[in-house]
Amino acid sequence: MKLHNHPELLERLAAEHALGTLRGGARRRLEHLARGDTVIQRALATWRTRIEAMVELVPGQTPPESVWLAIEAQLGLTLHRARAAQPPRRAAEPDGVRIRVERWFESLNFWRGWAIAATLATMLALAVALRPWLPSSVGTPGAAQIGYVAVLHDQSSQSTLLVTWDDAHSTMTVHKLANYPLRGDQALQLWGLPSQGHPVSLGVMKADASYSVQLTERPQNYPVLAVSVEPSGGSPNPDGPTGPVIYSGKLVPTT
Amino acid sequence: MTAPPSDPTPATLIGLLERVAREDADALRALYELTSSKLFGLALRILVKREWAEEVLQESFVNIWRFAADYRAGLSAPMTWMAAIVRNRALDHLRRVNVVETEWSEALDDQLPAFGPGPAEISLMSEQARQLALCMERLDPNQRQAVSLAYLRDQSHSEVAASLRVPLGTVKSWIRRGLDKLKTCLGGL
Repeated sequence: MKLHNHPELLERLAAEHALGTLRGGARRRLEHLARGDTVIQRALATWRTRIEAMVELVPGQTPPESVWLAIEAQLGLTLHRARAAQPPRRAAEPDGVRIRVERWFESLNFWRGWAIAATLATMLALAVALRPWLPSSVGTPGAAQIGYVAVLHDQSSQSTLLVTWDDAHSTMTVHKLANYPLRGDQALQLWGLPSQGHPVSLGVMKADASYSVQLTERPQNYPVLAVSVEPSGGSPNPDGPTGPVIYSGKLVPTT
Repeated sequence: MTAPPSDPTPATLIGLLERVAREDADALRALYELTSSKLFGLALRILVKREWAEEVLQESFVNIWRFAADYRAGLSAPMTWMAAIVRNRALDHLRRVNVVETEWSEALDDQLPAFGPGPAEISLMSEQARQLALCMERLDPNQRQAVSLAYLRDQSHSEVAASLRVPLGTVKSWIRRGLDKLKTCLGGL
């Protein structure tokens, strides 16, 4: 049968071919017929162009800010930008440094916006959650002295993690307030976000509901903490998350 | 809210893609600003689960960065090209995970963005997409849903029938009539 003589049928087949509902043998036969037949080729191409525009018709939804941070981290763009902003011969110029800092802040603002969003919820959660762990008497020699705290939350502003940092004893304690469903080959990783430079890993999170680690990092260097989903063992990129960032929150001094 | 002095157009996106091809990180940022909500909406429509859609959006922008040099303005509109990357990544993702988990339901459908662009999104759309949007409007809701599900999720007639919980014959006729209407509306070849 010459499809040319049945333009209605040709159009219907080309439309179903583009939509993807023409499958199997029928699809292969049509593609076979199209070889060396410009009329059929044109019909297929026209309908492909028509139907493929359907991807543009879905209305937008604002993605969470963490996605851009993850893209930037995966591609190492903070470094890219730093290099672009600093011509080698003027590397020490204050201008270059300022641009680099500003650009990092641009992205830091995302984390912050997210971190600040749930101020009230955060304060309430903090007051309730801290009670069991706060030292009963401040200043007892050897007792924990929590100098910094952070309540991290997810995008629905649910408090998910409480971090207390005893800088006098270089001990950070992580309390899980929610469970995140992980596959067996995944782990959560905690990050400190300095006011300039790339995120610094504060370790892959343990499975326990609550754990402490010794850290040499200074808490005052990290105004914001964040948690990303990574392969078990941690992010393959030492300079930032590769998986989605799921929690973030401000790290604030207690005094 | 006042409208921006000049709305970005597909030409804006083409210019940005050219800069991204030269590894201009600021251009990628600008491109993300302009297109991420559109592309996230698409990923969410295909995948339903937000965390999957976020992963796919991230993967897609990494691919846009890597393959921007392969973009040819003469072959496809910039939004179509980027959205096709998102669709392909999303379909890959669906194949990797257990599809049963993402079964379509009307309840889910209610939570998702409706089909059809908002007025704010039209300036970046390709001419093809604008025409298609007008014509999709003329389909019955059932036809529109079946046609869009078949394409966006790359589903066969029987998969669409299972998703919408209607008989196979019904879906075949919705899609056939839907495509006939599109053909009439979009004009002859």
